[in-house]
Amino acid sequence: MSGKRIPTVLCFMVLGVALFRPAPIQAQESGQSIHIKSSLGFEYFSRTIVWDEGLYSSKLKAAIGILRAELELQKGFTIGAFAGYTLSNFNGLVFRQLPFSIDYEAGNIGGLLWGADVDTILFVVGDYEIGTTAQFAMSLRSTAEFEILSLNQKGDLVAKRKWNRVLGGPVIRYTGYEDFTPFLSIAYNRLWGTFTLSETIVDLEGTEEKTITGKGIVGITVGTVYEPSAVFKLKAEVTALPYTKIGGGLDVDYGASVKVVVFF
Amino acid sequence: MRKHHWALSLALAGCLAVFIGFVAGGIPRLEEETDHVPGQVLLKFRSWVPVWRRVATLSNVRSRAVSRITRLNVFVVQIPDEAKVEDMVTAFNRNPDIEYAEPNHIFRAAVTPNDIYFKYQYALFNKGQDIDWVPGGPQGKPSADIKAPSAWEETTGKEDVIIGILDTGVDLTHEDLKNKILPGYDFVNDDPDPTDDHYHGTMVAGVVGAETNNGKGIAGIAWKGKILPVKVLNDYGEGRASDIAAGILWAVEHGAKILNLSFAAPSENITLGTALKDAFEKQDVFIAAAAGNDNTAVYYPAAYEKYVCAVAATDYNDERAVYSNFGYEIDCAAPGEKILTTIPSYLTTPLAPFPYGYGWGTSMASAHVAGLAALIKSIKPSLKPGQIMNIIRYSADDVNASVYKGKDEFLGYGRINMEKALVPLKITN
Repeated sequence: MSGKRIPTVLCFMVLGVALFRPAPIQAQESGQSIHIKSSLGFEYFSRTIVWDEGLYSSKLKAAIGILRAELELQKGFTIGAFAGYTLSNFNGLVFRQLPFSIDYEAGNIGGLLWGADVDTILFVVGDYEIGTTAQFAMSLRSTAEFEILSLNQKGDLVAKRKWNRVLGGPVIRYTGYEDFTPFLSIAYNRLWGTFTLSETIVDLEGTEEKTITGKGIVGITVGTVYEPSAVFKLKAEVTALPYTKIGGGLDVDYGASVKVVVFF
Repeated sequence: MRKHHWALSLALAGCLAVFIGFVAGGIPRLEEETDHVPGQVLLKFRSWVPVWRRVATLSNVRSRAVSRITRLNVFVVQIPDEAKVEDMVTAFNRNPDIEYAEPNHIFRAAVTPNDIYFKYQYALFNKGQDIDWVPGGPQGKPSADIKAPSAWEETTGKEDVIIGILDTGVDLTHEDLKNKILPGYDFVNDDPDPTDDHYHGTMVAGVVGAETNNGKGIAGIAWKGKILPVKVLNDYGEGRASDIAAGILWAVEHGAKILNLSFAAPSENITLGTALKDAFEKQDVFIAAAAGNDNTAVYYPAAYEKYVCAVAATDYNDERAVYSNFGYEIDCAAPGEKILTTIPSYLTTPLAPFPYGYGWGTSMASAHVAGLAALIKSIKPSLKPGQIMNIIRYSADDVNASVYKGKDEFLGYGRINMEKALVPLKITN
């Protein structure tokens, strides 16, 4: 199986897990009306990425704003689609195969993002709901241009970046409070993408593409949903993603997101 | 109530992890290393760890914070005398309360080789020091150098990059060269012994690739590159075009990817030109050549501007050497004035027992460029010689910009800058 096909297969596996629901619950809930909700979401994550076949690492820091539409097909079975904008910071990537090596420290590159997600409830045990959650997000290829001014000839750089993320796994929610629903999720969390830099200095030209992969594959998310009324809810969560550092030792990446959901 | 249970469980798990971390780590023996401060560790707690637990963590292993870098929230921690820094670092890093721990490493200015005469090599690193080992000699201008130490942080070269020195031969027994030399050839006498019976080739070879960081002599530019001595000049420093052309072809056949031609003549020679063109265009060989030392038009082979990098000479103040030939063919410049380098061992005397001396001229300048080209080739082996030449050109410092801005016929694009040519350029917004 080729390397590029693996993420695709994993996406389908994760979505498959999330879509799986036992038949009895579906039967009990059939006939319920469909609810459409929309939400505004913000997310920030800092993720350790490796490149050059795992020899080097740096951070991908991304700030994301999305608009999301959510369809609750049945109670406990929600699908969503979202689109938005992300500022992605790949500082720390070093390109040594270009004619002049480049240490990229130019900060954020903005670009569009879209994705889809699925949430299910599989079982209810007392005040606990056990279900699955899954999400696929794709930050579309976007471009930024920079100038090289430190040489005796002016040079130009064109940076192109894109990344994808898929996550999914079980989630447990506590429904014993009136307005708050705290939850805990342990999810497979994979991030991958490319960053390409093209250099032109007079007649010197070169292009180098880095394939980047997120370190760590399982994240732990804790959060809560605050639902003070029937038309509004707020969802906040933080994610910790442990990973093994190059050269040994454990470290943790963090992320956080907030969603404001309005019902129609 | 349920919330209290969660909190209690988390706290207990944290304490257990701290305990397991330190039991597994232990407290061991005495320090021997010198690359870090003995008995000290730099340590950063995770932001959510309360002060009382930080204090407890350190006191449990009989350590204490002696200072703090406030903005980074990093503590300098003194560990017990009998403890070993590596073991304490390992133990601390197992503690989930600690973001990281590391030795308090000792840093030294860039890459400074330990060769005893490096301090006189202003061309590589000029801080305004005395550049003559005889008192009363000149001093250089700070930064009038090719920035070698910072470039060596990026690379010191590779052994598989072979630099052909076409010259008077090389002293094969020289203490600072013998471990760098490959079997060469003597085209003057047509035998396999390219021993230098002049001095010029040994001086050029020292600049390009003297054995470096060996505690003796000088530093060469290409620490790891190998020198292929090809004797094409006789004991008067003169050579026939036919021998030189044959030497070029031989060097290329024997793996040379960089050639240094520190010789010059005013007349074009088609045979020599054809050999150089073939090496450059068909064999991907970079060629550096001296412009000449007669303060006149650029001599050949440097004047073959399409496939030879023509090098002019500067001095310890970043000014053009008065003798350096000039013309539109000049690509760049490099230090050529009062360059400390290797000389043949047989030239030593009881009064001057060390096989090192000063060289002048565009020959020395060309050798600096050949060394830089070897370093570029070692980290970017796929580059063509024309690309290497452009990297050297465009990264040069336009040191005579106040008089001749941009490329000019005296220093070309400027005095070479190894740091800009090799170290990744930082791109910020």
